[in-house]
Amino acid sequence: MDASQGALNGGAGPGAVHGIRLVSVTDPSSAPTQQSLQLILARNLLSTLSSPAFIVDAAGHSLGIAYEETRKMPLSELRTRMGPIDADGHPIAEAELPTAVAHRERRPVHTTATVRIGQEDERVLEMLALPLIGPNDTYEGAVGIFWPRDAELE
Amino acid sequence: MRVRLWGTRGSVPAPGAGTARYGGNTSCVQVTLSDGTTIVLDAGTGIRALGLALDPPPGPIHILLTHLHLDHIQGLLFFTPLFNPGCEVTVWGPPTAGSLERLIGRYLSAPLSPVEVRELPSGPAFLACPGPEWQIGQAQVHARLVLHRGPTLGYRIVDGESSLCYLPDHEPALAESLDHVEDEWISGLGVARDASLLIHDCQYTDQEYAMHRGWGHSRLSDALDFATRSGAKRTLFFHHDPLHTDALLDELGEQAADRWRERGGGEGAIAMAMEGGELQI
Repeated sequence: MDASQGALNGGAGPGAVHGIRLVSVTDPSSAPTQQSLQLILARNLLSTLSSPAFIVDAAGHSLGIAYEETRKMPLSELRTRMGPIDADGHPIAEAELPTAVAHRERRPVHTTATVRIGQEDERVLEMLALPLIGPNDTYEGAVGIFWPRDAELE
Repeated sequence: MRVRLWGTRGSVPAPGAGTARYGGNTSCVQVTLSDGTTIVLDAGTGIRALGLALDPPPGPIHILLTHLHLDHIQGLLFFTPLFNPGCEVTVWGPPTAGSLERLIGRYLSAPLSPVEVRELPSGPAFLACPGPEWQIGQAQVHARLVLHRGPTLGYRIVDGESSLCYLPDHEPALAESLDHVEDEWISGLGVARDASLLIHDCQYTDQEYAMHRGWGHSRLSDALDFATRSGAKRTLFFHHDPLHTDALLDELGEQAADRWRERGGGEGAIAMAMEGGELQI
């Protein structure tokens, strides 16, 4: 499928709420009328899982994140708040976060990182990001999913 | 544009005395644009009678397939214009992993068919939809992938001030009630928005849906919700389950009308699609 066929899915826009929270970080006033089918299906799946997760669209805009307490924020701010660090205690650069790599290189990525939850709590997370490839190899976006390693899922 | 329903049944033809009024033929809708161009939505068994009615063909014929499930292509082999060497037929379909012609050729080939695609005298063109919008005759055609099993398109045909949205196989409320979802996250809503006429899946009763979640079709409640959210001026519920008799569809239609009124919907704005039905929009 070429780029124009890829657009059979329509465009990107803000998120929605169900169970876990998917919060918009895009400007609603500029949102086209329809998310791509792959993103709708991804959100359908993620909204029924306990695992925290988020979605980025084909342009790399974050469409939502599955933490109840998260307000609208760009990924960079999210990174600042959660400050993921690698196993050696070094901060993980924004461009090296799994979803950023999956988005840039169109490949699945897995890593382990420590993040801050709230003011004090820290958790070790397994982080997996998957690119969403539509018909005829059209890139539609990516999903990132987290599994706490040191705590039971709620 | 003028719209005529040649097949309103879903899944498999359901002929017989018990389905004679709503019809037993599978999905096929004829759209005649204001400039006379013929568009055919899906090629279920209803297209057989349409082909006979199009003799002689009025000009080029454009068949828009939503997807390739058998109930949407089964009538192709019996569509007489395809056997007329003077007839120009273009078959448009969803983006798929293989070419549209090759995939339809799985049906139109031995041992399932005595005729191969390459033997069709009209030499039809098989084309994947070229993008989200393109022109056919006077009309702007919009296509979007929608929620059903396998690559499936929803169409919007805009001819002047009139617009028709066709979503015959659609399960927009697969994961959650439409009440909880913003418009842009509802599959198909973009092409249905404020349509003059919406033709939408309503295969199941609310009770039946519990056993069919994920099969790619809507129950009455979700079809009503979708119609409401779309703002369509008029909606026809379509793709009737083959087990639904005329009596049951009458009952479902009354139930739909009552619930539509309860939510403040306009009188006569929704109806159960009936084979042979014709509308000017």
